[in-house]
Amino acid sequence: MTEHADDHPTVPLTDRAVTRMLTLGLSRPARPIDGLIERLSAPDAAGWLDVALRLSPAASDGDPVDRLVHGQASRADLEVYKRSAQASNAPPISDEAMRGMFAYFTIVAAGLAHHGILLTSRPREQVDEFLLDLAAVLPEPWHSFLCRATEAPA
Amino acid sequence: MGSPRSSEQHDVFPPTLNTWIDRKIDEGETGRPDLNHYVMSVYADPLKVYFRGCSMRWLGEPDDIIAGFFANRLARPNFFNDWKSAGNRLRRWLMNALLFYLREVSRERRRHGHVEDVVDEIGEWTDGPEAAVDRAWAFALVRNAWERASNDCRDAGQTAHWEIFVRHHHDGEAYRDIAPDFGVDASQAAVMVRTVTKKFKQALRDCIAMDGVAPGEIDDEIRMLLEITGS
Repeated sequence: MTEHADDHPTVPLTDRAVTRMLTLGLSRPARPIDGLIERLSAPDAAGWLDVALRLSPAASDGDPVDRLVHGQASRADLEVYKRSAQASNAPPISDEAMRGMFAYFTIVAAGLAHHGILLTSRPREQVDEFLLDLAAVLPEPWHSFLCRATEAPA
Repeated sequence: MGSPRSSEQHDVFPPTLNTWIDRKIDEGETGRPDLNHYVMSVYADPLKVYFRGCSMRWLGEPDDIIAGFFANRLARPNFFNDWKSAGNRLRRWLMNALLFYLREVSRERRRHGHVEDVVDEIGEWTDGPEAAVDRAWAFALVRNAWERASNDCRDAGQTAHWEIFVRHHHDGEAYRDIAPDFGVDASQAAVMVRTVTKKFKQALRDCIAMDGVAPGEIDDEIRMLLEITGS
């Protein structure tokens, strides 16, 4: 292998920046959602997603695409779905827990996109970050839906 | 601190760093330029920190002392074989080697009558140097991984990926603020950052493994460094 002269200027590093960059080196996902993103990046993600949608709390009232992406679910419906998605006691890295997390964030996205409400105590900035990372590994219509949710006022 | 990247041509280590360093050691004199270059790039700053906290700092300027140390010790054929045999972390091994080197320099100065600035017993530390050295090493690690990942991105035609990564993870900017500058949407920016993050993560973990950290202990090492840098 051959090295090249570094064309990229070395950025002065602060303690805070070094801390952030070191965190990227941890093997375990730094955020719970990273486990979900890894799952949705796996070769069999399409099948997993089908199951996750079928078992989503929103599926109890119809097609999750209609209920969440197309905005058929009311704010009250979303609150019920969210509580259901949070109800699991499954181990954090289990499929069940990740399905719950997937449902949770799609419900939160629906709250933002269709009702202008933030259905979580997490900071909006963090929610947007999660939704965009999640969108990156999801097919349509979920990809555009999650992106749209991050642009909605709340 | 010094960079492992230079206009000179150096073989870079592949993802499995222990393999790389073992191969370089096995190559003998052939492998030494790359090995020495890497060690000087990553460990010069931590060793300067160690020297500055040492009672023998009267011996000279940190840059000169560390350059002299590298020139002296890295020229020894068995230096890295001895390290592997000892089983220490490389940075601790270098700290010990530097201490011995400083004693040698001090004795040499005494022989020539240059002892007027000696204020402490040789080999005593004004305070525990390990945390300060580890902090400097954390910075060196990040810089090394930074340079490797940025060069990998450039070689792969992913300059925009790298720039978005820096603005997001280093500068703390949101994807939606960065994306328009690169003609992508926020989610595409997230995907690009994820690609670079994998490169950076691997580079960082490789560099830690290079220090002699077992694969199963790398996360613990990172957590230790995070405590030091203020996580």
